[in-house]
Amino acid sequence: MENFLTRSDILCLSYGAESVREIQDAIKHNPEKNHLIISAYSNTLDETSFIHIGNCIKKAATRNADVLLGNIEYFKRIIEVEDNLFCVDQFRGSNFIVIFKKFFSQFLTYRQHLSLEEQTIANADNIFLMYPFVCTGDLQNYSQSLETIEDLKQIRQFYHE
Amino acid sequence: MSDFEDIIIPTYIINLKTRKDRLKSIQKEFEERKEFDVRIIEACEHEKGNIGLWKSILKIIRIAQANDDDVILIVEDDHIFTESYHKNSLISNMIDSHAQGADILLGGIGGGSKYVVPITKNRFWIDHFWCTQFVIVYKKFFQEILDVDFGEDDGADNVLSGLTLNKMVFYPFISVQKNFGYSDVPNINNNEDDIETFFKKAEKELSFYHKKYIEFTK
Repeated sequence: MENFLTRSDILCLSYGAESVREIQDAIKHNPEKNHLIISAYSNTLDETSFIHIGNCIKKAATRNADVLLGNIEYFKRIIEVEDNLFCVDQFRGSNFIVIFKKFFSQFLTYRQHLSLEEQTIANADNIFLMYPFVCTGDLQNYSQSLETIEDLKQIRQFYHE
Repeated sequence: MSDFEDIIIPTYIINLKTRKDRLKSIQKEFEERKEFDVRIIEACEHEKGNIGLWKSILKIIRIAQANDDDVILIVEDDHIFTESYHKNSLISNMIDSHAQGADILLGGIGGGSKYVVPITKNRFWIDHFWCTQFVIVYKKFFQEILDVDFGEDDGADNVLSGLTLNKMVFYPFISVQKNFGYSDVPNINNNEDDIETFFKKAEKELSFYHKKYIEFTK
């Protein structure tokens, strides 16, 4: 699949309460965009990552996504939707997130200084997660959730074969 | 869909002989349901209810082995069917679960699961479960149950949960537990909450998987 993403498409910000205003400003300045990509780091991403992210964005967009996460340290419930794409409800510890256009107006209602993740959990109907994770920062932070997801993938595969 | 007229499920109901109210209740649940071959099993009495229940389960497994049953249904006398129960769905899911390697198929749970994988829209793999009021057990799992070293503080649900990865539950639940105002077996984690509340909470927890499965994987 064609790689349609570049490093310049990524807004380098943390997905934390301190960034609410900056992300809202980015949305206001880019209302025509189909999505905004927020990442704490982008310099660790290689071309393969960009292709993977691009493919996941396309898949999530066709499924009416509000947001797409690139990684998470914790989740409560998760379901595999298709290869490389999961749906989650409650999550914590993501530093890579794609906000889709349909969720822009909702995001603009976020209150500053409140947890960005908690506001997303409360407001978004369709939260997706790409897999494998986008590797930014210390991979060790994701080891528990990665291990669980791998186990769940194997269980699904076992019963669907 | 086939009516599975020729399939009758060996069904073993655990009842303490002193609990006439429960016996009456459970008999009413199964009357007119010809798909079940119901046998009332006198519960093994023990000062600790959890041990009495486990001994009763072992008693049933030994009877099932002697009868050469391929699959059995173990029922506690506080089980009640929900509106989601349908004979054809029960039997087709029993057959499919067996083909997929399940050891246990549950009619409903009082909670306990942290991870869930939907197998179909109405049947989920679960990592753990609480409550044993409606448990379908396949023959290949009989001996493993008999071989368990059951501790005096163990619970049948936790022990069965830990004994196999291959366990599934119906969604929506086809079985829940009725609250008789007393319990012969310690409630979930010795919690005093109404047992019916546990089932409602557990079903609500599983609703996320059902909703997203329908929405995204079909």
